[in-house]
Amino acid sequence: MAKESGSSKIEMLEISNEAMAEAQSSKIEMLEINNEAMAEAQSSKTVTMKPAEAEESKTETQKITDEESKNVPIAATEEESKKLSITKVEESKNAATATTEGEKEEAKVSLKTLDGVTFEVEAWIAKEMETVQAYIDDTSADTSAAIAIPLHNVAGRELARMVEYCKEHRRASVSAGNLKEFEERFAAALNLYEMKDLIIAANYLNTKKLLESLSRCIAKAIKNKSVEFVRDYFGVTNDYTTEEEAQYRETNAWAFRNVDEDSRN
Amino acid sequence: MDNSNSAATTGVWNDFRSIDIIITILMSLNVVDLAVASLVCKMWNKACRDPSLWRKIDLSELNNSYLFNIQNNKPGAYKHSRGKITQFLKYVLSLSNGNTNCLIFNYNVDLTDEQFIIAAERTPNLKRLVLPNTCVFSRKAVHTAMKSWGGLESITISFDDPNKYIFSAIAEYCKNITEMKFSHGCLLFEENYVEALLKCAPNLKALSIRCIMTSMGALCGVFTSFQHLEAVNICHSSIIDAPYSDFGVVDITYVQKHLPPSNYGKLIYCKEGSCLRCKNDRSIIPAGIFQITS
Repeated sequence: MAKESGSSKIEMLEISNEAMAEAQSSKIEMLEINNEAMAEAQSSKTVTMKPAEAEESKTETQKITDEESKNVPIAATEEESKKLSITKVEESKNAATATTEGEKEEAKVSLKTLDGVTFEVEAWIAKEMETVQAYIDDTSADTSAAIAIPLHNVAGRELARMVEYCKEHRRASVSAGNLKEFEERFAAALNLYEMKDLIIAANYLNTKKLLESLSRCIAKAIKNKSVEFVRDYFGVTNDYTTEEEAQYRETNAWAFRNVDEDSRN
Repeated sequence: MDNSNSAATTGVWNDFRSIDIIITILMSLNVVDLAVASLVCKMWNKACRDPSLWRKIDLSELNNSYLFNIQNNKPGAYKHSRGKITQFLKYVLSLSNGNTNCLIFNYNVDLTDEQFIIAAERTPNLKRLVLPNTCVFSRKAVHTAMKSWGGLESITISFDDPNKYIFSAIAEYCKNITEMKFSHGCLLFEENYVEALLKCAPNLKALSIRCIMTSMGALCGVFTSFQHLEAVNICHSSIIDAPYSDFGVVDITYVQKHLPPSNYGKLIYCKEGSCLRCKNDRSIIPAGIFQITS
């Protein structure tokens, strides 16, 4: 009996161990189910679970790993890992664009004038011409490199002068004195026709430095001059009627009386 | 560009239809030349009315113009040209069409009440005003003008008496003044100026008392009286301890001794020719006389 009772005790123990093992495995299964439910709850908003319940359903080991993960600086959550991967991609993209920009500066840009002349100019000169730069920005790098950019309102002579101006301006801009001297020389070499055509081209291509320089030179020519001088100088036709002319000469006598001889020549 | 380029017979600019380019050219002209250019033809007249050309009207340019035959930059030099100037002011301000933000009268211009009121009524959106040296306007003219200039934010004054009715007019009509500048005309900037300022510009942010004599008490008063103060320009000023005492140039360390450290950064002073007047090499005052040493 004693043996029987002993063996039965052992059997009972084994059974209880098995039961415990089963219970343990069922607990693990339950935990897995709970974890799945949690995952579902996170993904779909229909299933909800209170934080306390979720916390209770975790095993001790899970709780420990959770605590540890809080202290780990590496991306623990999926969102953080996504963010990290995005920033890495962006960094690589930036690096790629930096290299392409470097290549762009080395490359040349083709410009085709209205009279069919094609110019190959350095990228920095093209940048000075904001209209051209806008065209380059709007088209892909391959396209803008492959084709000559059409300049519908600019003749070859004007573009050649503009390119020359950009290059000389860059050299002269080392000192303010040199720059002023260069701008004066550049303007002095142009007659009124050429200046007019060049300022129209500079305006169309939005080459700010040249536009400002030419404007200053033209303004200088009409500073402290009489109305008649300005008309003569630019060959502008007076389109005021005789009555209008008489009226404004009366109301603006200050502009016509005591005119110095110098200002009329 | 010599005159051999003249296009008298060719009409080279007649087909010049881009008004933008004409405006760009006109940007480099002064107020007198702009007025002349507006009489050339209808297109130029239209270009001359562009608001961007009239943000600032600097009447000190009258000095350099053959049209007004002003030989010397002396007070009262304009008296013989009064009729012309009235006519000119009316025309120029009609071109500006109320788009002027800044109006600078010549330092030596001797304006009449009529001219002052003409200028005020035709510049209602004025933000910055530089008054002439000889303020001989009547009380009525000053009040009429300041009424028109209700939006003024900055004013430069060049005369001696802080009790002049201009301060009461500013206090009454110009509630947005944040910047006051006193120019060479003032004999001595002292405590009564601070009191007058406090009444007419309690929200003062910037004060310039450059190139004038200033009492230390007035300077300290400025810092204690104005809560919003950001900058005080004392370039080439002579800072004296007591009003009307012997002339003396005080170094910046002395000035700082009288001010709390929090105000040091608000002081603008000339150190070894660093200010604009030194850079421009203007000889209004002999070099070095009013320079503050550090």
